[in-house]
Amino acid sequence: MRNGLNITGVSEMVHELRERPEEAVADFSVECPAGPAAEGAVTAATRTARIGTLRAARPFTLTHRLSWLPGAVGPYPSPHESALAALASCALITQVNGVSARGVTIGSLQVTARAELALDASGCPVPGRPLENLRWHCDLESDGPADVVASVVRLVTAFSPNHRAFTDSCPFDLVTVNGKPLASADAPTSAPGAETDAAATVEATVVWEYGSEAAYTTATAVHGVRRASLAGPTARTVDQTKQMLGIDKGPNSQEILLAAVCAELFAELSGAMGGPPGGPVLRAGGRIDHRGMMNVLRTVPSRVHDFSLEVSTPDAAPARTKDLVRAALSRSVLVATLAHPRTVEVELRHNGTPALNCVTDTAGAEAMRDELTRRAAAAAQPAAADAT
Amino acid sequence: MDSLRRGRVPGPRLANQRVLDDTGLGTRSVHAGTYEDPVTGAVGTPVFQSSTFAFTEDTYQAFEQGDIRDVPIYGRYGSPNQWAVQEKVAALEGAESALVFSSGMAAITTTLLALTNRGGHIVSSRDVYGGTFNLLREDMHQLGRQVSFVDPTDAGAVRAAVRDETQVLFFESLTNPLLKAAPLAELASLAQERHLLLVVDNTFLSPIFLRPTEHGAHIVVHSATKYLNGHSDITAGVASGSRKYIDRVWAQSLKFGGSLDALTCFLLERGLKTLSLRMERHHANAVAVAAFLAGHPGVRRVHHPSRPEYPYPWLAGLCPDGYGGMVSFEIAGGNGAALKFLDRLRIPLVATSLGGVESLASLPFNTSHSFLTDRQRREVGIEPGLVRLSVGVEDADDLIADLDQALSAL
Repeated sequence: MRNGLNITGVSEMVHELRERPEEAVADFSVECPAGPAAEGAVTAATRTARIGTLRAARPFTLTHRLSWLPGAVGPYPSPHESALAALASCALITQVNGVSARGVTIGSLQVTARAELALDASGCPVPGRPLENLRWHCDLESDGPADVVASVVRLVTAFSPNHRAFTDSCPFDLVTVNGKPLASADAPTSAPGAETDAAATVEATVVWEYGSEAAYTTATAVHGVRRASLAGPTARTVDQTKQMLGIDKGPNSQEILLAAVCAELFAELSGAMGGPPGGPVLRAGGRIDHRGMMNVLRTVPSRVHDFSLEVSTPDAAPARTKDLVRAALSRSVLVATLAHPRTVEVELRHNGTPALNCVTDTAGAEAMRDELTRRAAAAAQPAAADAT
Repeated sequence: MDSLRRGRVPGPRLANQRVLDDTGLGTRSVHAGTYEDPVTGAVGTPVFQSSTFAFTEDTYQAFEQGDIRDVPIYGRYGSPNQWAVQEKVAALEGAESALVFSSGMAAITTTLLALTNRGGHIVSSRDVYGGTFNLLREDMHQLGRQVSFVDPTDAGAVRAAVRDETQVLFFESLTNPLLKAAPLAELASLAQERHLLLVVDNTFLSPIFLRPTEHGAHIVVHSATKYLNGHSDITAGVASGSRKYIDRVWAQSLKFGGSLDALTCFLLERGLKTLSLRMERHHANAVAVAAFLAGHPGVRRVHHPSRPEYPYPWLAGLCPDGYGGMVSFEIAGGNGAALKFLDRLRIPLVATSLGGVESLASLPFNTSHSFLTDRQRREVGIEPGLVRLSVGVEDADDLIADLDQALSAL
């Protein structure tokens, strides 16, 4: 065990994926609302996941405040804060895997993600305007060489499923409303958004605990006043399933991302439709494929993909519901953020010294995967020649 | 990450262990897993009566990499005697890996908790062994797992009980005490279709008569106290299956404890050497006893797969070679008469447990199923006067004569 990770377990998983590709796919989903929540908040529940050929029960709930304003109701994060927690925690856990596989022992590790949330003249988020200036900063103390650690962080930007969801185009592949697909022609496009100089800074900080377990806190700063939403004892835990070498301590970073998107859409929809009974119920799903995340198969994406959204509104008129869902999708900051490619700036500070500063995007990540694939093929060639 | 080198391997195995996968079950019973001592040439596995093992570079490497299941480190992690007997069980079950425990209940508890998550759901039956039922009913919900109990012979009922969060189907291949047969092929098909794990307690049949993994089960558990050991002189359990799942069970077992010490492993390994022989005799005796009981006027009903009225015809297809040594029967006079019957027996001992060379008799109503109400016992089919007989390997004629005298005196 290194850094609480079972290296052999990871290795065995890689080998299994080559022989049994059906074990590579993991589907996660959340439902919102799920159970009672305080007024002004909504609770999402993680649903049973499918990991390879088996199911994994997921008993977690994630409550968000419906308002983006910090302190409106709490201690709950806003969906925007949670989305950044999902970005930071996925990058962190991918990094733990990467450095562990290279024999590096971690002393401490913290990742902070930040982004700007554009505000309109009334001080509200500009509908459909994506989070801007996305970046994350990593502070690592370890016994590894700086160049090795920096190379791992570069790899993280190509193989962290959530990082790639933010850099790549990652729209909902399927949206259904009361069981009927929303036609592709109805798919939302990002609203251009009004020009504005005002913005809130949203942030999430994830602190590594052990293995794939970490704790995250969140905050939003408006007009230079930073207010924490999750801090100290209200920090939340992120972890992997035990089927994926975690200990089931909390939801994973994909589930946190899905819950954030659901919560924001729920806020939009319930505002337009009114709350339960008859209010909207949303289910969002996403997939990771270990063959992409481990570069076992080049054609498989390394990002979380196959995003789906089911909206049920039993008491609403079908045509109106469709319009409301379309409107909610087009007003969602997070849907807009994920729908189009964007850059994410990445900084690494290793043992107190700057070790990396780069701007990452889809093209760079794909080039990295190409290079790794080429190297793996070249390394395999002599072995193949020996075998013949 | 793609350069990680180790894939899953069967075992764990020591270099000096015999690996026999392509032989008959009798040969596997005798030889599979035996540690061949390079110093003495001992024909059997020596007893490595040591709780800890000196570190080597392999040990440190294993600690760093995480493959500590494959290196002798500490008795709870694994030991040569555990590995010897585990390899034998795995060979008999046709599995990649096996893990021994200090009891069958340790095997079941560890397996079920290892293979489910908090919030998960298990489908099982009220017919399972009492200790198992108590675990499922009294403890699983406290550990965050829900359990539904259904008729184990009704695949439709099992299917209907599956929920979104269901993770495991847990059934006995042959139930205690009524010998109800689970429709294994249908359950395996359901498990595959719905992405579930099928865990089968195969204690009553042993791998000599049924190897559930050949029919799609993922994990097989046994109370090794019973037929596997066969001499009523140890308490042990075992789980076997693919290395992937048994490794998960093993990781759970490190925290729960329940490991098996070297001497008990040695005894279990020795007992297993005669498993094939014993099971043939148990089966032959049970068939003869069941036939005798079916013709006795003091017996109301006999539960045994060899009887023409046995209601689970698929068992014959699953187990063409036999059904083990368990016979249950209802004495016409009810529980009072059954108690008198036990008092009159001379050869079978009145005791709990089963699967030993000696015949044992007990009454479910005041032993294994005493935790059920009269109504619950009737619901699962346990009628007043039911006797559970574990038919041993004595001479069948002697057993029948003894049963006859005890019944005739009622």
